[in-house]
Amino acid sequence: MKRRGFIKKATAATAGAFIAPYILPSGRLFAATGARVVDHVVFCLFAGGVRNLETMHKADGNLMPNTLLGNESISSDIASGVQSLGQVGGQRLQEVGTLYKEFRFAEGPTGHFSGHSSVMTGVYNLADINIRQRPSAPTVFEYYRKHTSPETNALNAWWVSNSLGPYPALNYSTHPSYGALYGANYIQPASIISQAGYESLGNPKTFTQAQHDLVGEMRGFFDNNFGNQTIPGSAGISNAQADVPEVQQFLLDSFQEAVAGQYNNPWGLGGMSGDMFNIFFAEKVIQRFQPELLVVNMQDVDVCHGNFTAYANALVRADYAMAHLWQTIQNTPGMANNTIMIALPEHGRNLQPNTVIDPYGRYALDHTNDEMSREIFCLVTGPSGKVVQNQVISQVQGQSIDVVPTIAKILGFYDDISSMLPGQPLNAALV
Amino acid sequence: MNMKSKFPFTCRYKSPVLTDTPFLRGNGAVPPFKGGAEERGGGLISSLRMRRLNTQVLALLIAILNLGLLPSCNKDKNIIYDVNDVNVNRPEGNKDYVKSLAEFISIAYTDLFETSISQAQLQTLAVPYSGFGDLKLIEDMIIKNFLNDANVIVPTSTAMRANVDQFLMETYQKFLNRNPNEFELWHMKNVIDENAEITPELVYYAIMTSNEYRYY
Repeated sequence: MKRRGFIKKATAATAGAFIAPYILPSGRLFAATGARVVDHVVFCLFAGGVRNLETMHKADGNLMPNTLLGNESISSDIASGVQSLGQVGGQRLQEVGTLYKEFRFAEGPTGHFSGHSSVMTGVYNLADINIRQRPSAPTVFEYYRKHTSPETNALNAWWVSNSLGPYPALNYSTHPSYGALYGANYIQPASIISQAGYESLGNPKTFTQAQHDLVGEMRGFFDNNFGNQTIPGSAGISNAQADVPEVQQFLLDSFQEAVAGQYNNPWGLGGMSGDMFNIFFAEKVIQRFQPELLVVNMQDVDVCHGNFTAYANALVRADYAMAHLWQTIQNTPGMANNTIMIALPEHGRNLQPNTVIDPYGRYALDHTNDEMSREIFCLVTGPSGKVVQNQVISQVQGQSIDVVPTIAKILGFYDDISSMLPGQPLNAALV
Repeated sequence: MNMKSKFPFTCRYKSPVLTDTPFLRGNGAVPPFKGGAEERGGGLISSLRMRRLNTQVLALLIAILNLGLLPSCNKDKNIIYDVNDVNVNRPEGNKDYVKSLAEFISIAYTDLFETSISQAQLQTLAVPYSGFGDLKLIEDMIIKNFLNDANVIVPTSTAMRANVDQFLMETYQKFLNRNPNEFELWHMKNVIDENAEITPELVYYAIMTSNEYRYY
């Protein structure tokens, strides 16, 4: 081979070696361009409608002692209705991150689904609020799964909600370029890990691997002969065939643990609220799958529509649960020191109460679009060197639609989707 | 789809009867060319030859003319080819609709237990179904739980292998509401015959977790 020819071919081969990895793995032309801050994000929707007066401004004492510094005592008139749970760890969560005390849910109805939908899509939902429909804008799960290269499977994205209603609809959108193909595994633990769930799913016929292989072969034949095939999303999201046994085994193990009584009082507090159980199960998902993106919510504080003191009590529980979640993350190999947790309410509550009075003489609170119902907080915790530690931002800064861009930046795909998002990453929290 | 097709077709051309032409008949209308007067020589012979040649050319022209004129001289016959009504179905039976949650559970229950599901059982099963995002994964678990129930009605392997064709016909009808086509029957029969491990349970499990079973 002549020298010129050799140089020409060698150059081409070298260029190909550099280019090929960016084309092949995901079918995308180029990989996500941004570097990751960390490899895991846990997004805790401290939801149900939480008023800044009771949290950031401590109007009735420090009801979030695991999150906020300070030992302000609980107002005497409701103190007997609020059970203290103590500290989960040595540090308060605000010490390991940045606390935005005056965050805003700036636009759209201050409703639970509207709030959830806005914060999980990064777009205020002003026009098409229909709690029977999936959001029209892509969810953070779809952005993550589509724009992470190589594309990740559904085991890496989980949406753990503490109630049914419209919330199952938030694991993927109706957006034609995204949808179920990029959706998250949705689970509502209280439905699945229940007596009904156990009766329905807990005692399956077991087959050998050889039998499974034969079933797979026959099913493949049936599917190949079904010309209609399936409508995308008609069966929700789809885990990869290879991952299905792992997920099923996870559910079966959970049934066994529940039957064995391990779910009755796992935190040794004498009982678990709905929020606590939901967080507890999210921890199970974290320990089993180490997902790169997990969203979990709490909503018990919504009892405030009829009982203010129960709301204050639920805040204490939610605070404890969130700190427990952070502790579990730090005790999970692969996620410890490699996870950023973001927490915020979906919206606040009204300044003016409604007419319902609880047994402690406090008026109840709704959330009907007044200014105070738009005032929320946002906490970003993470490893030092990645997240600014012990920082409090007291002026009005940041809004709900900034969370999706922040997650995108943390996981390295913000550049791919920035044009689709009106919000901005919370750069002040990131190192 | 009910499709009826008609193909109106008029036969406008009729082959000419070539044997009617004297030239081609060759039976004495025009004597054979060779021998005779030509061999004897003389102008008369040449004249005769020319006449015969002219006659042949004339006959040929008539024949050609005949070819062109005959079709237009015959009366058109309108022949209409028709077909009987035929119902044309796709193999999977035009299943375009996804079963709803309640439909899937209640149909699966009926298929396996040959009785209707109670409202209480339906509600019990609907709870976990609603609580997980991968419906096929949950359906798979529900089917496996059904198959593990003592009251499930599944043929024995002996019965299946005694008449595989009949088992397959009944299975397709039971679960997919249609008969298997010849290829499906042939393939599945081969699969069952060649794998001693295959039981009716496995066939039921495979078919109930197939895409087609989710549709009606």
